[in-house]
Amino acid sequence: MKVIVLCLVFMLSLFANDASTFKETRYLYALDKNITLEGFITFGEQNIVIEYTKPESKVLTYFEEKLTIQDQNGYQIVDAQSMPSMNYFFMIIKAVHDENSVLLDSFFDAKTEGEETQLSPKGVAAEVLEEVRLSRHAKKLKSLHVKIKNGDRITIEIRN
Amino acid sequence: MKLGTKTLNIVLFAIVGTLFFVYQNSVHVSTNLLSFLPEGKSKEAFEIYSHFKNSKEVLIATEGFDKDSLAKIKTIEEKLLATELLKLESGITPNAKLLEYTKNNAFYLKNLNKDDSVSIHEKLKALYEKMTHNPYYTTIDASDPLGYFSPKEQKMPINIRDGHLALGDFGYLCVLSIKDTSNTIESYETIYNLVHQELKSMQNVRVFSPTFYFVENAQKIQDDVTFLIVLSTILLLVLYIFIIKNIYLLINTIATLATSALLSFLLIGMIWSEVSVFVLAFGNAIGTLAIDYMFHYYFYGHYERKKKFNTSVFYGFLTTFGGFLIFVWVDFPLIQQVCVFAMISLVLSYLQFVFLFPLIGFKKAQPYTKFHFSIPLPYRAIALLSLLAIVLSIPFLHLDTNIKNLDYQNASLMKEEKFFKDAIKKEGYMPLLIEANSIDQLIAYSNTIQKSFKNATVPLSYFFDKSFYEQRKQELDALHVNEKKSLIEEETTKLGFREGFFKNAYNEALLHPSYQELSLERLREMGFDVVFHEGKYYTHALVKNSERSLVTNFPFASSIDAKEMFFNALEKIAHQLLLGGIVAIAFIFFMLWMVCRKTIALSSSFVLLPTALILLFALTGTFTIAHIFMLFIMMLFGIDYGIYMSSEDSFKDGTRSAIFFSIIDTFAGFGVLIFSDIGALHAMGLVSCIATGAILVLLMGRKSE
Repeated sequence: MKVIVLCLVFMLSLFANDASTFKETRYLYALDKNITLEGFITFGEQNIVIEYTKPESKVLTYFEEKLTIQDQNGYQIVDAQSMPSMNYFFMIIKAVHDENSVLLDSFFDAKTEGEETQLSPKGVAAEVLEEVRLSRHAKKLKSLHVKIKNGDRITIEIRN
Repeated sequence: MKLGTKTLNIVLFAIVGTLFFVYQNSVHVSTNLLSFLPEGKSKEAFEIYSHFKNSKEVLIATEGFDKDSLAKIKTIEEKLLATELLKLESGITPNAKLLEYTKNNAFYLKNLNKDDSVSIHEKLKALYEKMTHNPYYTTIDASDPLGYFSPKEQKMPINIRDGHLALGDFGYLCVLSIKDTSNTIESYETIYNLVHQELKSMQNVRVFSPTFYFVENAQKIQDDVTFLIVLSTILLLVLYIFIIKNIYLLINTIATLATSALLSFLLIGMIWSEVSVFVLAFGNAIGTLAIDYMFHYYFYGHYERKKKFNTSVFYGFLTTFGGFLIFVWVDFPLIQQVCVFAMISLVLSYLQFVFLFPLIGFKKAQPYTKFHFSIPLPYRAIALLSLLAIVLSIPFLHLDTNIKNLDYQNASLMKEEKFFKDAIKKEGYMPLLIEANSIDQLIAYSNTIQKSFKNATVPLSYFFDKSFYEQRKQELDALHVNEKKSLIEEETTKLGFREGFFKNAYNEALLHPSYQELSLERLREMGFDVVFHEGKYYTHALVKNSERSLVTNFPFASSIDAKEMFFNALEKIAHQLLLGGIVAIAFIFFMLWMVCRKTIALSSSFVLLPTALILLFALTGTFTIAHIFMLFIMMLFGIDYGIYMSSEDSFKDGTRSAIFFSIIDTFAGFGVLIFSDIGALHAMGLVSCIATGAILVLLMGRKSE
């Protein structure tokens, strides 16, 4: 029953907002390997919904610092605060989308040239992140590159 | 008559007034009710707890989780921190010293799962799959590939939203602590004014700090007491002008009462380092007891011509003084201060009214009204019925031991406190003070509390003590991880992990870090609240109210609960109060027997009827120690009237008027306390209103023919 409700919520959020297709590439230093994922990303007023279509079908909903993962086996909720890297990842995406400069300024020193912005982590963010670069097109997030201190890298390219 | 004698009273007033003017600042008047409770372990625990920074936190919340709300809370933080008077406690930046300690002692700070039933290959394969198949980015701990360790569950009652502390669903939260550790009202006032000044122009912001009670209550109590003193003084002045009609006597009377009150105040200031503001309100009313002596002497004509010593007045004075003398031995500073103030004030007033005023001499003026009215009253039946009511009501009395009911009821601040406590889920929790002889022991005790109380929050349980260290060391040795290292390396490479990625797994530094007892300074540097007081170490915890009964099983822990502290304090002095009560009652009956044997029914009804009515009233609501204390005073007060009424002269015109006016004036003195917002004073006012009302009815009576 809960799965059905979540599916409905997800479908509604897709219809209610503009969903963009995206490609995510994760470089995992521990494995020295790239993993590529594709799907749709939707920005709601309070949440971010990511629907992965490749390599597997899974839906991630980020709402109030909690991540709900839904797949064919059911769903699970993860407290994003217990995973700082992932939490920063979603926080940055949300702040860029909402143009929340106050939030970004709390954790980064920003340097913008044209549509490219380089965010240098400071304070607590500097404990986890090494560098963040993002590009916008017509104020919309186009790509995001996150370099993590453990050697991992995440790149997201939003297509439309 | 010599001018010296005539002006002696005024000169005395001038001298005492000058002394008061010079020394008044050396007497510290306090509005804090806790300062005047009996000394004991609970009170000491309260005082120690007040040194923790979490007892002085300032909580500020901005409504909503939008950009404006975030910008607002950041601006508030910046402005307040710029003053250098406050410190941010809600910063999410980890403490560098704590981070280093945590890294070095990771295997000792985390939970250990010794389960080796799953093979190393399976464990590593699961790790690999977690990284490659999780839809969200997942990191792994390279120092623990076999997953023996998991972080301790952190009971964080406060959430983080958008990288900032959040207060439930309300909005962003900022927690600040006061840098000044002096715990003075001046320091609290500075912070109060600063915070309110900054927040003045902001909308949708809520703020609370326990220290605000000290500031707001102190001001409100001072205003309340000033209002009561002014109201009572105006009422009494009008009454005295109306009754006495002799301006010269009126001036001398006021000078006498003022001399007694000021001197009493200075003298108790010499005995106690802090004088309760309640004593001032009560002390003002005590003057109305003292003026009775003047009324009797004046209306008897003692100030016009020399007459024999008035024994009724002397016995009246003796019983009231004796009553206060009995209760002065109760080990309760607030009661002691009130009693000593009353005793000094009564003696000084009595001496002046009885010995000095006849020397000065005052002409008796006819009052505007005379008290003629009387109705037949069955005093014996009243006395017996009252006694029956007293006996029957006592078993059903319930003593209210909540000290908050005696203090000022600051409803608006209490509402804010509840709002924050509800949101941080602190409502329903009680602070505990943990005491130990060493820091190691303090950590051990903190861990004991954490394990013994479900849902407890014990910050110091983050650490481990020496015995835990030894035990964990043995457990780690039993895992034989050194022997598994080569297999881990081999298996991880086979699975596809980078070669050498786990080379530092289970290294010697993590397996066997050297044990060092943490110092007080180091704990504070890491952001933990520990207090060193008279050779002992203290820290705090939060446990559920429903588990408070378990606290007694841990002798090193004491609850920080005002209600419980007051209850313990009362328990400690219960036998003294009981003894005082028995002695006071015995003293009352002794005086009745000695002085009013012939009119025992009539005289005793002045004690029994007020007592019965007060006890019956107590059955309908709260009955605090303030009610009990005032009840005894009113019993002593009632016997004065019993003694006056026992006199054969009592039905003479002047005496009856004197008695009538004295009860009206007592009503004006003590009765106004009913208008107070301070629980203790309101209770006293209520009791005195009931008692004076009852005495007034009895005064209107005459024996049935």
